[in-house]
Amino acid sequence: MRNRAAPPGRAPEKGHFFAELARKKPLGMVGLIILVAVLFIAIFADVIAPSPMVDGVLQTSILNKLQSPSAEHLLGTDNLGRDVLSYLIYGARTSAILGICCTLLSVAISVLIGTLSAVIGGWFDLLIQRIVDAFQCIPSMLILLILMNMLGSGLPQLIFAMSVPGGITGSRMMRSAAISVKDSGYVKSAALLGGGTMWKTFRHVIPNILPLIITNAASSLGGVILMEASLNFLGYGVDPGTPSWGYMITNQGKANMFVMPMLAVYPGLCIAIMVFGATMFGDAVRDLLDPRLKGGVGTYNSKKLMKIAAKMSVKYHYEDPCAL
Amino acid sequence: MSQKLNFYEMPGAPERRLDNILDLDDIMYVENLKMHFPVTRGLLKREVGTVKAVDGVSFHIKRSQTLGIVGESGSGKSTIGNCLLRNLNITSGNIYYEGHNMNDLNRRSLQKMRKNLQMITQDPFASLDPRMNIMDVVSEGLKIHHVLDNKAELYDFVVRQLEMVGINPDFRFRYPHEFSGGQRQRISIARALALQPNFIVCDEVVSALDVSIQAQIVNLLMKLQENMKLTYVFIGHDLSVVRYISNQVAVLYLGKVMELTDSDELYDHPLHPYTQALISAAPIPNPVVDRARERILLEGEIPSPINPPKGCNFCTRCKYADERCRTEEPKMVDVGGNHLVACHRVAGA
Repeated sequence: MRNRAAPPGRAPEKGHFFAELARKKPLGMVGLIILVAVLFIAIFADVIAPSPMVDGVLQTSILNKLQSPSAEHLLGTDNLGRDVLSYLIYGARTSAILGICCTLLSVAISVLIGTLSAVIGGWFDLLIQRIVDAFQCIPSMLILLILMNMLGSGLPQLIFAMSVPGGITGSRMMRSAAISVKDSGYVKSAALLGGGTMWKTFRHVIPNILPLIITNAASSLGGVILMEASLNFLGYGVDPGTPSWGYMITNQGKANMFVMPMLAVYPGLCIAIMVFGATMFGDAVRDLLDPRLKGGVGTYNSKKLMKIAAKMSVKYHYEDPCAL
Repeated sequence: MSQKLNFYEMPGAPERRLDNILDLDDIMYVENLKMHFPVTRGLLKREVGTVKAVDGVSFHIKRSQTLGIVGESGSGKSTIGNCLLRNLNITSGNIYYEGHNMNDLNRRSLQKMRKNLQMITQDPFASLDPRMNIMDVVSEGLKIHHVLDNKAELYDFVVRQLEMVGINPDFRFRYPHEFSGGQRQRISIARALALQPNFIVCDEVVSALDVSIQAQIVNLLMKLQENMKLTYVFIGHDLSVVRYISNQVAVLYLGKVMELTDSDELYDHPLHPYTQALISAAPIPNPVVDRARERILLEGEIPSPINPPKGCNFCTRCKYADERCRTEEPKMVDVGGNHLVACHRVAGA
């Protein structure tokens, strides 16, 4: 075998992640744009809203309650005379922040608990799973109420109370997926190479259950927003008066269903659009990260890259040491 | 990697015990190895019996040579391979690697020892992570042990490693699903060799491959052995492949070694009735010779390892079995020229 200097370390040319997303998964790009837009609206609510908050509350006027859309109130007013459009814009603040934070936190918790429990196994697995069982036995709403009672109301407390029990119960699904991965040949090979628990978990198990993680996260987003609504209904959500989409459905929307059904439809649409965005973005990311779904022969599928590959193989011609 | 690390030169290695080595040429010495798996039943995991997968096996392996292990399914071949690497916690017995008793190793030193002892497994489709490109696959061991942290050097090393096993280094950013079975097996070999081990267990490495690819892989293994002074334990059930690559062959039956000798001697003068039957069952690639020879057909199935027969393990299917075979267990006897057989008939003669 001729001894040659190895080629310099450089991965095959890959487009920028977002460029690839836009080119291969346009729907995923739309999803990302929706999520970014919601976040943008949430952050700049004070500037965007037609009638901004004064001292942390939206202006109420009983005289103008339940108005139809007009030039002054583009989407009308609710039962307390608040501008519905402004309410929705401020609602994005609560719902988007809550939804995204809760989802990320609860998925992180469930992935950590589930995969470590599966990979370590033995008595550790047994112990952790009994704790998870205990959490699953109690209705989730009850746990939430207890936690909220202990922690008091407020956005950080709400995020904690909603994501921790959810993460613990959700770990069951992660564990079962991780178990099938941890028994596969490549994880055993990693152990033979000397890889410990952390190596196996973070290098092999988590990347291989990523599709499940992403799908799970995208689908739990809508659930979180609605859960916050039911908590609000029971008086345990964010401070009353703080606009939120879920609260709008269960409070204004429900009470005035026959008078002004749009009060329930608008926040419902907002939630649906956001969940749609998250789902599409999640699916696109999942497909882009899966080497098997990239199509063609690896990353050499474009004509330009084929040419580069052809050049490279001439340059680094090698001999097969075991040719018959 | 500039120099090869010897296990006993590493910090934390147990003291070297030369008195346990019979021969300095031996890289590994296995003494009365037993691996029993408990059979449990019910909620309380009540033990109702043991599977004697490996039941008292002794052999030694010479440096830069190959020990072949053959036997039918369920005879404990792969279990021995896993025991040699301490993948399983053995029930009893001793395994000495370079004079160290492997039972003395704690988890930490065992992980360090993985640099020296490696394994290549049977299924090339399961053994590579589908989400890692082969650059990452081959360099995995180096990353785990922080052998090469310099990225450029690591890159260089992987390219050379891939060239060595006959994979075009241009393919290094491809993913395992883009390779064929034979190529994947080469990648597994590159991964195992990346840490520069000197002892490799090849657990049925060619069983899942086409015959022509089998030849390529076996030739590659032999070439690497010559270049890198590797020691192999080659586990297989294809007698001709095992004969081709091995210096010594052990015939396993129900967790016990029936016959152990140089590979040519074993195939030309099989002494144990089981070996004779095995060899007569292997096809000869010449139809005239193949039809003319007498076949020894074994009746029945291999007995359950939960409840092995008394006396000689093979007595239930041996046509020469007599009263002594059914009551007394035969010992391994050297009948001359390093030919070890466990059979009353042969030893008595």
